[in-house]
Amino acid sequence: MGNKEEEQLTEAKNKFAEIPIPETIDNYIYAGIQKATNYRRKGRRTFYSAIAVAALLFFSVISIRISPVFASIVRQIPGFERLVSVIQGDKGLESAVANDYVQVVGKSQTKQGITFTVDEIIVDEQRLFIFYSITTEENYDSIIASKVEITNQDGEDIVGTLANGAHIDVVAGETVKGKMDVGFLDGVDIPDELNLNLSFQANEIDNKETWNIHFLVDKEKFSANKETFPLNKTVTVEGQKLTFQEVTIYPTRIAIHVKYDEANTKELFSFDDLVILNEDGEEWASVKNGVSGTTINANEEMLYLESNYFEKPEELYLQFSSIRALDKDQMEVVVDLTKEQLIKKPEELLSLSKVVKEKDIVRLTFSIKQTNAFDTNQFYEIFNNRYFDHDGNEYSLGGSSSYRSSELGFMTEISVKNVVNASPLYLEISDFPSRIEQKTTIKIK
Amino acid sequence: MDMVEQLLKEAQKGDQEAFFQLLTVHKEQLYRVAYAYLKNEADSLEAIQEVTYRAYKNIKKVKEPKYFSTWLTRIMMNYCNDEWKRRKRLSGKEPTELLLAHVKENDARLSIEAAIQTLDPKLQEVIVLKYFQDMTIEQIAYVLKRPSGTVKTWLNKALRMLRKQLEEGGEFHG
Repeated sequence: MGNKEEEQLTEAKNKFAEIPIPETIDNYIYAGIQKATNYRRKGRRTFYSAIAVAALLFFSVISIRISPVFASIVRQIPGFERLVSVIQGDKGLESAVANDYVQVVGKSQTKQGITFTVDEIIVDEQRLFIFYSITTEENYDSIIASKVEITNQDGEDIVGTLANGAHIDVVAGETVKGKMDVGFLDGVDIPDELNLNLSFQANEIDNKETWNIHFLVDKEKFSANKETFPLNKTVTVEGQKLTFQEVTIYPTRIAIHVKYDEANTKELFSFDDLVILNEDGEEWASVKNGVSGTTINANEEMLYLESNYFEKPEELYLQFSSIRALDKDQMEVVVDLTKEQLIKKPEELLSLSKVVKEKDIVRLTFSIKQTNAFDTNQFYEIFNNRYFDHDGNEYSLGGSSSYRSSELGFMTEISVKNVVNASPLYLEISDFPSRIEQKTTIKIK
Repeated sequence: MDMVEQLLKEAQKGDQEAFFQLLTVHKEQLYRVAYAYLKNEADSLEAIQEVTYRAYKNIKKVKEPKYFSTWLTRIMMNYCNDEWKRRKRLSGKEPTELLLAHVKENDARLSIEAAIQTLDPKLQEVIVLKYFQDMTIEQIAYVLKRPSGTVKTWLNKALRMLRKQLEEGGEFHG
């Protein structure tokens, strides 16, 4: 055939190859996975516990991004190939490994047919990563390390925060890999020794056995230090005051200490586009999938960005232009379960679109109107985990999941106890697509 | 074992990170197929979400790692076809008309893309797979679950029809 139409087809193909790929695409892949895990969860009738698992996986899944350059660097370091799949996508961890900032441990213990191995660790003053593998003699629908306790040489607990994911559909004899992300308790130094005790929840049943791994920390390896930049800079965005106290750069992450003025009329949820730029205005550090952080108190928090510790620019600037925020008196959503309607809600952006009553639980689906371009790029939880009934009894959400559809917009489904007699229910907003905006740049160094 | 094969194995065991990476590796290809059919970013992104969902549910059905990529493309095409049918229901128009109308807004000249869209959906698929996805006849046969002979016949038919459309292109402005 090789003539006119084939020529044109080749041309069309070139055009096809130039169709730009939106940056937000990964969020849609993530949303598809979340929708599917939601589906599996319902299929298995393990509603409550599986949601907790899904929530954990949420955090691990979104941080993964393929970087061929990084993968090739790591392949040149003998023994580290297996790390690629676990840390790919985290700039801080990638550069840590590329700079040989990793200690090989390789200690394992087998009990009841489950072998747990600590393969490697990465540690700095903020954070400890334990890269592990699990091999089992039986198949499991799900297995997750539980009751994790980590102590130092003096037997002191060092765990401030801990995140680890579940492994699903584990096949006998095949090794699965994962990581535990441990944030140290305040004031904990890099330990000399680590003692790890844990158990497993396999097929959602707690195992009574305890696995124990003890090893020394190679502090020479982790001698890279932190860099602290005091800022004490207060900025005002649409009348709301926020103070950047200091920025600390560790090998594994960057911590930004920020305070919100108690007198602010709005609750500030999250920065849409917080970045750190170098002297050429290039992005030196940023968060691709929403800012992570820890709350110090109601008006103070630490925000974390992926680190770029091993690269040292001349100057650094912190920059943002948009923050999600809502009036403090709008933070409550009141649901009448009997009439299946909302008694109180923030602005016009949120509506109750579906109520499904089952025996013990009620699934509430909310539709949230998102009009800002940032929202196509982000997923966040609209509701706090806790809620109250009419008599002030506190409960925890049975679960929540979110997805996006072009017809209905952003949907979030939560499940609450079927407490009809105690209706209405009081839900709390934890994040919302309303914003305060102003481009702000602060010099770090 | 290459990377896709390794990731596929892990994903089939339920490793969500591996699954995410698999989709990441194929996302550009999938997005472009979606865009070629749906013609706008929002719908194409939604297609990505839906195809991820369908692939996740059915990942265990993939037996041959070397056909994983074609398998994903197949899901995307099915989705796009469903989407066409849905649009047709909503608008009462043939999807090709719908897409052509869109093409005309942007480009008065009948383009090869517009010509492709006038083809029978089966023939369109063959063209997209062969020329946009660079698949071999064998791969296309696998995707479409037809003998290679049939695929060859379709391909020839499609090219003949395309030539005809391009020669008579003017008619499509009417």
